Amino acid sequence: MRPLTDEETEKVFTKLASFIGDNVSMLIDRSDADYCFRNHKERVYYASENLMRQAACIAREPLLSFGTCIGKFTKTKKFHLHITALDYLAPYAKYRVWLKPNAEQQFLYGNNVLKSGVARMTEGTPTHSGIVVLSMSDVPIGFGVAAKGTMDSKRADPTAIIVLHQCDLGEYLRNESTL
Amino acid sequence: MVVLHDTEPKSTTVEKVVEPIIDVGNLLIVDRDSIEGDVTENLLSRARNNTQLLFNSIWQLEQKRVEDAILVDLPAPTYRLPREKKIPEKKEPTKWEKYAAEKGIKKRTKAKKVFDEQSKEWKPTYGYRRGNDDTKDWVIEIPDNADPNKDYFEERVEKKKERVAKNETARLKNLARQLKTTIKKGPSTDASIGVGVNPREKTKQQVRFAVDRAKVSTASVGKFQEGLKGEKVNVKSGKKRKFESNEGPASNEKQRSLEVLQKLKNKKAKIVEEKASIAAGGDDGEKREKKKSGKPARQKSEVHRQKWFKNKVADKKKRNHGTVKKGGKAKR
Repeated sequence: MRPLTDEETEKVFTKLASFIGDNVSMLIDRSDADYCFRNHKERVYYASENLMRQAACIAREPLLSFGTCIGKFTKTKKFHLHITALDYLAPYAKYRVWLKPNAEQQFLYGNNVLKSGVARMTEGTPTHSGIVVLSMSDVPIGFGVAAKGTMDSKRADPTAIIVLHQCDLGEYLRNESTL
Repeated sequence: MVVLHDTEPKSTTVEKVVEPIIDVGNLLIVDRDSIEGDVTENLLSRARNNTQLLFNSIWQLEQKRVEDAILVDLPAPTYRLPREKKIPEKKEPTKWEKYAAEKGIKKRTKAKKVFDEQSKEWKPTYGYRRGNDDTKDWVIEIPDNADPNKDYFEERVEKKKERVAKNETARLKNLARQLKTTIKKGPSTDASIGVGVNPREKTKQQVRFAVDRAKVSTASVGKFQEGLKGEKVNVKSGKKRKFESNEGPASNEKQRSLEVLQKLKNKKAKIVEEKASIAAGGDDGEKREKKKSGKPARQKSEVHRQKWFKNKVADKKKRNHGTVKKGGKAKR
């Protein structure tokens, strides 16, 4: 377990910022307790200072996880978000998309969101920005990248891809062993 | 002078519950009584008693007197001490030994000394100053029907060398057989020795490291070496990675991450501003348009090119003139 280097911090924050914008500072500067990001075996964990100190007592090998796993660094040192980060992305998300009930399942099985499945979308979503996917009952079910902005998607045909799938709640079942 | 504590001498007779094993040959006594009471105090007195017992049995042996000293011949040891080293493993017999066992050939021992006819002396059979040494011959009789121009001294030396070499290979083969490996047949000739891996067979990473090494192989360890355009930085710079301590003060870390965030924000803002200004047809945009519409300044090389082209065209015209004339003549 170690703090992130400046380079790593930049990568993590740019990724987070694509979803929650300036709200990243809300994650760093919290009123309730000191929270920190830690790199443990190339995975980035977000935990309170207190919890981190307790976890630091455990040796590197047996320590599996602590706090919330935000994502991981790939072998080529790119940062990928995990579905576990959804709890922190959803409340601060700048751009959201609501799915129709029948498109929900498609998304939860790891498919992209088509125009036909979109019920609502945040106004002014630019293309290639991070977007959080919610069900009609406002339950966050995953996130992805907007393949088309709000303006473009209005004109697009019903089979056009609107959101490129990145993570969804189904991964808790599908990738149970690797999460 | 040493002043001893005046303690009365203890008795030489010792009584034991269980008879101890005494091996005088090894000067060994094994006490088989059970330990009772205070261990440390008991042990001291026990050690004394046991030593006394051992010496009692030594005194019972047959004694000799040489001047002032009393000597005793120790009997052969009866107690078998464990071996210090493990028993050597049985070596696999050599090929000759196997063959000899099969045929029932037994080793004949040669006499260590032979009688030398020339010097009329007994001399070692082999080695330095050996008897009947054929290398010391000053003349060799040429056998019948043999080439008289051949160097028979040289031949002897060669034959000896061959025998030694043959024996050496046989020895190595036997050794390999014992170690259960196979002998490799010499170094391969397809790759030259000492020049490393063939560059064509190197992996991408090996090439990468070779380039890196070459870059720092200057007198200044690559400090003043200018990099080429688009050249990659060395993979291994020799610097070890360093991380912040895990449990520093939290405020420090918060500060650091907020700074990183601020830097990111600034970066983004710059890009957005630039884009916005271009889109709005600001200064930047106008400049670019001007450049596109106006003719770019003539460069030196361009002037050159034009001159050269002119000359070329003129040359061609001249030459064409000539050929036309020639052609005309031929027609006529």
